[in-house]
Amino acid sequence: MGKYILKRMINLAVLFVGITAISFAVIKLAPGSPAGIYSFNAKVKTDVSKRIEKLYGLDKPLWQQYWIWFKNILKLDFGTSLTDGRKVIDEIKERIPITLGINLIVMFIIFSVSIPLGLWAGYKQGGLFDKFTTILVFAGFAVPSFWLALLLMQYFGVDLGWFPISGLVSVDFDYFTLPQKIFDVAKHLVLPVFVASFGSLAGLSRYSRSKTIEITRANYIRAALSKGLPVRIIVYRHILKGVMLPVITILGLSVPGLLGGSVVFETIFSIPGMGLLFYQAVMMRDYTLIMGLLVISAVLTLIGNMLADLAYAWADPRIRYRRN
Amino acid sequence: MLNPQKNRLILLLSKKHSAFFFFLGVVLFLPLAGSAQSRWPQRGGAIVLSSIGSPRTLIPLLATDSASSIICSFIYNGLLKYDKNLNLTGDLARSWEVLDNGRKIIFHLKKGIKWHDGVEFTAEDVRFTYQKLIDPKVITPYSSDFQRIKRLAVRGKYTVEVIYKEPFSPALSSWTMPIIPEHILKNEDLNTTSYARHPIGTGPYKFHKWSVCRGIVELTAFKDYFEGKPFVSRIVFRVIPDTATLFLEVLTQGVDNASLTPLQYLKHANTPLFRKHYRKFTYPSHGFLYMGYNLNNFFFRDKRVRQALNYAVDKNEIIKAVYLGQAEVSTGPFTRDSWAYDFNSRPAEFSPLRAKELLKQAGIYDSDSDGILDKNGRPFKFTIFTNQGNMERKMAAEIIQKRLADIGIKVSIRVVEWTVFIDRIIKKKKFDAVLLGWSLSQDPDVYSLFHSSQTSEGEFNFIGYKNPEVDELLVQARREFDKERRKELYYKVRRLIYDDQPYMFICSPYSLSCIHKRFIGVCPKKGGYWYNFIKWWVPKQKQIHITAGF
Amino acid sequence: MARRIVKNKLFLTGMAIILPIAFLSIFAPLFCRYNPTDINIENALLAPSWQHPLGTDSLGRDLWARMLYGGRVSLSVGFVAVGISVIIGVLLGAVAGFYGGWVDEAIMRFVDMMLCFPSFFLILTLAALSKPSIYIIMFIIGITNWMGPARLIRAEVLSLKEQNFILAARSLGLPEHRIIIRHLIPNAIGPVLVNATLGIAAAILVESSLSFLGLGVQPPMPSWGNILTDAKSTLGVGWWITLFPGLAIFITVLGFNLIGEAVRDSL
Repeated sequence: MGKYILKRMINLAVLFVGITAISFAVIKLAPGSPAGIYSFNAKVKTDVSKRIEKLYGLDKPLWQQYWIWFKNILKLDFGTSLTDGRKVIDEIKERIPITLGINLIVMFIIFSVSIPLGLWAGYKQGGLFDKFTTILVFAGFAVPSFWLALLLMQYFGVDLGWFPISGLVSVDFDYFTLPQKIFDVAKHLVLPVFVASFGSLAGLSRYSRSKTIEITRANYIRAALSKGLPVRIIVYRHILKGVMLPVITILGLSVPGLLGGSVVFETIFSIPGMGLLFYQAVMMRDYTLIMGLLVISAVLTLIGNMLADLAYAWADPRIRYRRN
Repeated sequence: MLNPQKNRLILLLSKKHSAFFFFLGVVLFLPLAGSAQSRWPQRGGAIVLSSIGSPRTLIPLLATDSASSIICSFIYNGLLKYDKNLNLTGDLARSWEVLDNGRKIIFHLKKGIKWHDGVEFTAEDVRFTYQKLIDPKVITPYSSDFQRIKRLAVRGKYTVEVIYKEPFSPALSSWTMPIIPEHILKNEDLNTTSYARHPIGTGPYKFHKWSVCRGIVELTAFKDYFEGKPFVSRIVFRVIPDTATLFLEVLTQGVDNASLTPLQYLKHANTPLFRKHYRKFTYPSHGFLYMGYNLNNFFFRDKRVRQALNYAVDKNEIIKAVYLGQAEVSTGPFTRDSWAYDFNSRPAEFSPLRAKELLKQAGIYDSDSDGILDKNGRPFKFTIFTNQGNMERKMAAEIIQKRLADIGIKVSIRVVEWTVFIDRIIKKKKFDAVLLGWSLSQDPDVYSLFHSSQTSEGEFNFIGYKNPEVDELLVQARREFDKERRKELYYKVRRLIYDDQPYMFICSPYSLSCIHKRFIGVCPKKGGYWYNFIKWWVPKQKQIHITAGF
Repeated sequence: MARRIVKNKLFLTGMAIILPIAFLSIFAPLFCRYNPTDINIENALLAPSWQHPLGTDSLGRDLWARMLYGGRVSLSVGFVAVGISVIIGVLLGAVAGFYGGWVDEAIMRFVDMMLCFPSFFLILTLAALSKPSIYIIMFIIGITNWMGPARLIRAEVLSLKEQNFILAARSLGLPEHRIIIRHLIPNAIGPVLVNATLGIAAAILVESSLSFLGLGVQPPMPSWGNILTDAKSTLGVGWWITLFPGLAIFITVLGFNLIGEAVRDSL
């Protein structure tokens, strides 16, 4: 076990170095220059140079620049934003809970909708429900999310007035009672969460569908069926488990996709999370902020994968034993 | 007022037939004294404003983005301000004197003005602000006007004496710069201080909270404001990065004030629902759209070519297509709301024939019959650069492209992201032509745009315009404090520039906006409608937001 | 396999969607009465009619023409981007699988690193920091999405390389690059095809998202993404500008997904 953990740790360390190297390279290789360095204002210009200088040095050889920067980020020092001068790490810290929170809800919904959907469709393969869900999930995958968002905002927000258009909470949030607050946040989250999860239903539900088909064809299930075990139990004991395990891994792997998707829905729904911050950083060419966000989003993915691994090991005793 | 029930009834009705019943209400109930509350300004409620980007700093000296500047305008005051008719008037200053041919300006400050923390505002704060403005370590873009000051002296608690190196008429306008508190910032580094996120000013609203995770900045009415406590008790700024989202928010009354695109103004904002809740406004803006030529370009060096292009493009077409008529043709850098605007100026007509004629005179014609004009074997091709994220400019560029193609000039368009635009196109002068807009301040000084000394890297005359006569006039106008005489000088400047055509002046779009109807007291004047914001109020029953004991 | 696929209903539906769209786009000039970039202000924002079957946009350009030409751009972004990612992925994957050892280790670690990033973050960064042109966008989408094909090919190659025909080829002393290119890759390409079909769909969506954020294919060249972006400013007054490009993207992406699914089923 100890050896296994050690190996994983080394692996993680290598990945982390690689992540930072790629983030650095992307910024360094891309043409163009950071915000403000060519500003009309000479003072702004020297200030920006100074901030970058401090973060990774400007006139040194590339590998030295990288090394300086790398040492800094080990201390969690990502420098200061080129546009508003605040610490990059602080700016990101404020945003992570929002994006992470919404994405957890999204994952939960994907998980709890797509698996039953796929299971049922797979179990009744070829039936009406199967066909219907097939169409639905494909539609979800194919629709451009911002288009869907605009249509939903127009219909449910403006025409029906059921949900607020954008933002995370109402203007009067501070003066609400706790239940009101919860209701308020929930109301604001309906549309963005729907948009964010709709597109991701396809992958998982297709997966669990085909997995279900595969399992139902397996001999042990057939044997169980012929023994007269109730379907409910078979589904619960065998199929669900067989489907759930790989799904955990898939959810872990879907972290980067969800983070990437958050750029679009956070922008359109005015949700001040990491996605929106990233979009603003990119448009402002705020190099230090972009680099910080790239590294941190990749690290979040790493953590996601690790958690998935742990969950997998926890759920499937075979793996635990093998590793021991 | 005998029967409160009745009063409420009238008000309910008045929503539908407002003009008539309002009149009735005033006549019937006013004499019956103060209990007819709804007729008197009522406190409370909130106004929700929005911006595309997050504000970056609430120190006005450092603020360059519009979100920060707008928020700062509620928190701070300058010594002077522009009133509803765009005349300079005292703000923190009670009065001012211009002495010694304009070399010396003395400001007499109002007494008893309080900062939001209760400390009194004095001349020391003015001195402090000035020192920060000219401090080379402070990253402010506003220092140039203040570097012309030779000496600033405090004469007692309420008098400030400013001595200029030479007469400088834009000086007064520069003192609309917000004043920051010395007692708080004395020992702070302005560039890094956390004060930027919880500022203290003298303005009608004080800072309440800045919540990044909710995307809002909130201000509350300052009870000791020297012009009286504002009636609307809260201002909430929301960051809404997407324009489509913003408009949907307006449609659902989630935002009380927004600028509108011409299309929104004319079509969406004409629905009964919209008109029920919002008032629309249109103003001449003090910005204009232009195509600037690189005057070192082989073709554009020749004044006739530039004049020809001016004839070849129909500005009215652009106004009609891009701005749906919500703009007017410009004839120079001054816009209709400026006192330097010459109402007798006329734009050149649209005449492709004249354009061709002029080009021929300049030796440009289609010598090889390939459909493209040429001179000395060089085909007349050029690229218009414009910045990303501005639909109007993009569309205008496409129309110019089309119209110049009609007379045989091949134009391509490159839409470039803003920082790249500044960095590679403007600063390195790697462009043939740019399509951009200027938004000028109230003072008509256009020295930095057209004076020949302003052409080095990073300065605003990046097209390389040089005309000794214009130079001389611009310098003279800067020294002249007499408005009428200064006006004459700017008339001349405009005529010369329009004839030279370093820019193709296209148009000055109106600024279009809307504001929620529940606000009473909105009274648009030449200078817009924000000038009396502290007097606006919302009747209690229409206060859709919580007031909470402020 | 081929016969099975042709009978597959999903496949047929997918093809029935994609082929007409591709045909119309490729031969766009034959089906258009108007030039997609011709501005005619008199005709701005016309609803669909005989004259303009899909209406006109806010500059009076014929939407039908813009949709067809936009289809060219969107489809070629899809195909070229995926082409790039498949080439990179297949080569790296095959090399990793074939040589094994530290080469494999290095390449696959690199794949793992790349997979840690939200690919849309990388795309956005590169798109914003470089000049946005259609080629750059194809390239950017290509180089940020080759990891899937690389993994798939590697897995296939690993299982193939122990098989007799490869062992035989090796013992005959065929040069390694020849074995990889001639024998390994063609036999391992199946799963990559599925991935690629889905990838085209994804690339079209990515381009439209980039356009929405103002970083996609630049005007006046129409793409479905940037036509749809124009719809933002005409929201509510020109339903046709919102509807048609959205539908086009939707249907096309759906088509590619169906085909991908069908190919997967038949493997």
